[in-house]
Amino acid sequence: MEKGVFLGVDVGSVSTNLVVINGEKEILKAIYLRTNGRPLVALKEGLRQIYDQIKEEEISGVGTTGSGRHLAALVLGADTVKNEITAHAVAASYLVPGVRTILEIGGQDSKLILLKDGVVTDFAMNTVCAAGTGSFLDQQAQRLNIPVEKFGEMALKAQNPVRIAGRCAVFAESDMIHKQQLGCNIEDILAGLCEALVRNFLNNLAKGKKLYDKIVFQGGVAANSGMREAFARILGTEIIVPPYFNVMGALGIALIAAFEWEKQPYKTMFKGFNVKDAELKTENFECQNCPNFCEVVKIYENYEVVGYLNDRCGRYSQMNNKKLAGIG
Amino acid sequence: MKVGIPRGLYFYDYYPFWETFFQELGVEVVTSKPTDKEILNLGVEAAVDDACLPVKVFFGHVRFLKDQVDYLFIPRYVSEYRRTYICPKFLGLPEMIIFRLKAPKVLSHDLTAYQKGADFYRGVYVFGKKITPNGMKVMRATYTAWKKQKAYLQKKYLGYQPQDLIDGKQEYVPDLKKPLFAVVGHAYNINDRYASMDLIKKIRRFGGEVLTPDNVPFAEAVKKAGLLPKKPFWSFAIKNFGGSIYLAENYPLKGVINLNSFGCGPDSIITELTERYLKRKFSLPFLNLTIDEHTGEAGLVTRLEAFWDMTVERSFAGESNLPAHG
Ligand code: SF4
Ligand code: SF4
Repeated sequence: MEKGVFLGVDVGSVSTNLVVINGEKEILKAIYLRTNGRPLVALKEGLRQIYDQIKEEEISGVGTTGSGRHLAALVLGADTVKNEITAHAVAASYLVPGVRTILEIGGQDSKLILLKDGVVTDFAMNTVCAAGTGSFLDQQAQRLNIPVEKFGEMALKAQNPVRIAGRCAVFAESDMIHKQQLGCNIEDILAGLCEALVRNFLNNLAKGKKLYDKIVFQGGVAANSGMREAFARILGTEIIVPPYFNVMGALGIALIAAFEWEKQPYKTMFKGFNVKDAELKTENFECQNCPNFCEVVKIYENYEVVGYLNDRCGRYSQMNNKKLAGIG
Repeated sequence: MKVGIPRGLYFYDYYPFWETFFQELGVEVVTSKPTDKEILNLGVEAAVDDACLPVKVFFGHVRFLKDQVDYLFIPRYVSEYRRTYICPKFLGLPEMIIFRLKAPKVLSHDLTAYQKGADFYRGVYVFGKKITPNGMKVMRATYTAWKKQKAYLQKKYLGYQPQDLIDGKQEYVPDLKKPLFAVVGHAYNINDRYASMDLIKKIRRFGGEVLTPDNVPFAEAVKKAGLLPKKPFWSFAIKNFGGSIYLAENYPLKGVINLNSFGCGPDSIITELTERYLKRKFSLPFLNLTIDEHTGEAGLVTRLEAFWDMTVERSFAGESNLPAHG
């Protein structure tokens, strides 16, 4: 079999990202899209942006990751389905060989991953606390009427970052309002907010873990230079923000699909670019067959059922193509 | 007479004993169904807000059962082993149920082995006499029940989990040659398929096998707990800390997964101690999972998959012959 290109797709709750790499693992295409609560729409849009440059026959493998990985796998026909922690780790150690610590902050969650010799040795993930994620930064920027892109730049100008309570999103917000009323200038407040987020991240995720150099900072929030500075200041070391920092999950899963191909060439399950024009729909229903009352998701492609997700017992998803759904 | 045994807390430790005991005394035994959303909702509605998850689940089972039976059996476990105590929440359990649920007729008795092991059975005897005046019959029932319990323990020492022995339709036979994981936590969390989101089955589906503190004889766990500067007086602290050290010393574990329930005070200390010790002495990868009634399954699955990748698959870039966690 000829080794062609590999497509990696990361469907998260905030962003949906696609990366295409060639057989030499060079990045041909990287796309970052907002999910906006409609992962299938974002997915189709992503494919549309790829298909005129990549021929369908060229695709040797497809991988999916992120919280929507099973959905994407069913719709696309994926060869590899993996969690986002592994995907992020693979991408970081590929772009920054020798990386020991990954700080990842996305829209809805944050992760800390520790590695040694390219192998993950420990990780932690926060999915519950809002005060450590990109959405919170976005919200605060909006409240202060500052374009998100300017946020980092302004924070860098701070002379004396003010101390803001970062334990919880609600407290942080009221503390910021208080500091504003005291007349603190906006740059100092922004820098203070970055520091609060960093402290929150370290308290929640790093708890007693030793963070060795090289330290990589990735995820959507890594665009914010104020955050990078705050990490550097608090950890007292250099922080590397790799190129493609905001699509690392998609890159990682594309790499995994490629590595697996190299170990053992396979014939891809990819259904083709037609998916981009397909009528994709999900429907939720509550199963009444036992008192668990699962909210089952039924996925249609052109009015045909292609699979099910979210049933606890497998009553429906056992009808899925097991390989496609990346389960079992 | 029909007696209901709620499927929660000590259920997973003592069910074979009590089922046999009651049956030998000619009492019909009814157990609640395995935890599901309905049971959990019943429990969350009725229990005090800051109760730990398993206590809420227990409330749910009680509410589910209470109108189907003449009596509910809710013993007061004070101490399971010499010089140890059980979690304080167990002590107040009968009263919590009676007052919060305006409940039903509760059969209860204090059971303690604090002074000596035999006291426990003395308690059982006194309790049995409440059911039948025939002391001989009670003694015989206790003996038969004890034999059942012993067989149950023997099976657990072979690697069977309570859920394999109690509510499996077919008996699952553990395969200790697969990649082994210690799952550390309370039996009533680990074996509750719904509350634990079927953790054990998930690991087995990946292709691994599970060992838990239930697979370790208590005497062995006590020896290992001696490594702590002060012997804990909570028996489950001995089981979990000592048990996980025993497992780490005796089996080629890939990693340790700790399952905590939100709102459990004692756990927060023991988990910390266990994690530190296992990491330092055995360099074992450790994953901490906390469950409560709101826990999303997706987050748990992601962590579990990543842990599996990290401990079993290790490298995805091909060169996976690097030394483990050096
Ligand atoms: S999908 Fe399965 S577990 Fe969920 S409600 Fe239906 S029968 Fe019950
Ligand atoms: S030990 Fe923890 S989980 Fe168990 S009953 Fe006590 S507080 Fe609840």
